[in-house]
Amino acid sequence: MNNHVRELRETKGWSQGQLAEQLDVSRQTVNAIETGKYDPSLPLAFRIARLFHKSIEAIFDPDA
Amino acid sequence: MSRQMSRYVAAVGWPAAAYVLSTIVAALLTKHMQPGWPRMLAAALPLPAIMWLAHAELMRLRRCDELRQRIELEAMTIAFALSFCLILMLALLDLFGAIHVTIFAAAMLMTLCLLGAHWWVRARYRYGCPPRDGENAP
Repeated sequence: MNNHVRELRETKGWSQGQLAEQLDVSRQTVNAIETGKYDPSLPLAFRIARLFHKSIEAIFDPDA
Repeated sequence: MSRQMSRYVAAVGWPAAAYVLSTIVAALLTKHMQPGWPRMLAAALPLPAIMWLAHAELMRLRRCDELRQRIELEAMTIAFALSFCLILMLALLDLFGAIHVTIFAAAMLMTLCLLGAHWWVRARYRYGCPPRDGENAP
């Protein structure tokens, strides 16, 4: 699944560690999500969407 | 000791130590006992420590973040399937007299399967890799 987490994070000027802290996950989890190695659980996807004030569909693209 | 390792030791260190100690005591006791109920009870001495260790591992797993949980569970699943097939094959070879497999060798094989599966799953998720240039920079 493709996603725009990295672009959104960079727009905010956060490091992976800072984003991970706000999402209450490890930096490795953020890295794996950004590189498309790992698809987050639904609760984590909601947390990401809320943090960036966007809908889940706007961040995650299931067709890619 | 790395931070990850010290967290692991803090979570399962005491039950692991209890397991090792009770196994040594059980081995020493059963060595000098005649077969029977007392020997069986002595051999079962590590059981509470094993249960304590399993509980501590489960609690540790629950406290991990979701990617870490996925890695641990995937590694355990792969290791179980792999070690089951390998040990079954070795047991059949043993049954037909081709080789002799000891319990110790089987346990070592299971451990190697778990370590190998862990390494493979971590590599697949790039877990523990340092961030590439720009990945961690604001």
